[in-house]
Amino acid sequence: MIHIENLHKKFGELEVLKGVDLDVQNGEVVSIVGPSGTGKSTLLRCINYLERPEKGIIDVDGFRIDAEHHSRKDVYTLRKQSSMIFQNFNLISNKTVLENIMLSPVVVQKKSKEEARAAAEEILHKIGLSDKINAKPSTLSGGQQQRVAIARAIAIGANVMLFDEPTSALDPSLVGEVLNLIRDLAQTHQRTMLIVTHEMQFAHTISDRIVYMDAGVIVEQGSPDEFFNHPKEEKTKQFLKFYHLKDKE
Amino acid sequence: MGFDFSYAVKHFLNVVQYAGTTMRMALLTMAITLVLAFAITLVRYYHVKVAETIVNIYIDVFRGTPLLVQLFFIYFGLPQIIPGFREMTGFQAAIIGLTLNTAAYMTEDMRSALESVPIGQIESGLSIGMTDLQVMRHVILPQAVKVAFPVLGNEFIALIKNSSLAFSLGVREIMAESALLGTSSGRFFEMYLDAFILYFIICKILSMILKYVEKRHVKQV
Repeated sequence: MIHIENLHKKFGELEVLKGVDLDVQNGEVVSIVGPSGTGKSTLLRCINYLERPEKGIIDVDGFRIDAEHHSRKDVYTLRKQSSMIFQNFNLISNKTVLENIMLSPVVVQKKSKEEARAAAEEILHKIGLSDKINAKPSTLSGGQQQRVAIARAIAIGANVMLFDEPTSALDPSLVGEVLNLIRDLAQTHQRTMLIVTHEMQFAHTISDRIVYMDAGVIVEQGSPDEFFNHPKEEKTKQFLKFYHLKDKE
Repeated sequence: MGFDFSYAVKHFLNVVQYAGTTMRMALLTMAITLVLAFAITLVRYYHVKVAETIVNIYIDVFRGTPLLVQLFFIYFGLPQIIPGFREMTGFQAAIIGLTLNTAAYMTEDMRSALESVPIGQIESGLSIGMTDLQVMRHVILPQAVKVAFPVLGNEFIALIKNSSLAFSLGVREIMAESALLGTSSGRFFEMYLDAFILYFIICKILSMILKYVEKRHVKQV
């Protein structure tokens, strides 16, 4: 579960989030779409506290943080409530696939190495990367790296998963394998997922709800059918028109 | 007078005997410098208030003045003001001076090694729930060490060369022994040639070892 209330974030003079409110239910899959530079990624990064908002409430899976009053420990606790998948994968480059996945269970959750290893092996088996267990990230394709990053996020066991444009840095030919994995996750696990993406078709089929952001605010939200077929706001219509045109090219 | 080859050969071993002092001085300085420079680097990396300002002034001062002046200041200057320093030997003063001087340069190399780790990996470390300290220990340091290793190796070699200045504080090491024998016999050419060759051999061997270690263990990222 995610609850965001009146979230504000500035980069210098530039106001990126202008009071965002958002609620995501347990197990719900929500995609955030919208033009580039409208604060979608910033919103996601605030939920993981990689960006520090100036004002607002963030509640992830029952842990609540007030941007104006919190301790360093609160930030660490908040981060543990969710796991994040980055655009550029961000695997630790000097560690093997296995070590990357075991890192949080061993270092943060203090699990035994045997236990963490067994769990990591099982996840890798499920996502079809068992043969890459001892590979270094740099030897993997972008699609494989992103799947390992998702495996790492699964290993943390957090209820909430945040995807920050998970396929934007990939070759078109590698997008499919990552989207399929996310789709499987959305269907087989009861996880709450918040996905920032530009893949409209994917967002349409995977999501319970679509959120449209523009210029630092949420303009419109609704079911995929409502959103794609019956948008209400003028801005949303413009945005969708652009994507429909693009599809025809 | 002419060049007396046999004199140079005969007294080469005299000089070699003092290579131990040179190496002891360099190794001790290096060990302390690594700790000091790392502490300073952390202060700068995490922008610790007040401490960062102090540390930056120190770096400025020690990079902006000659090592010889620093050594003289510590050994001959400080004891006149601070009585506690009167018991200090030349060897100790040399170590203090060389440490303060080397650390001022080394912290810069350590910092760029830390900063060479991509910000995305630091963020992913934080996002999986690690504390800043755990990210430093498990993500940044293992990668930074590999980047820093060759640079720090070169600093160690530079340190060995710089340690020859310790002879001016009365430390009897390679340089001092050569000067002493040169003065007593008047054969400066032979004796300084010995020093020349010995320093070169030490530095060359070290740099070969460093290259080998680097190739074997470091370049496998």
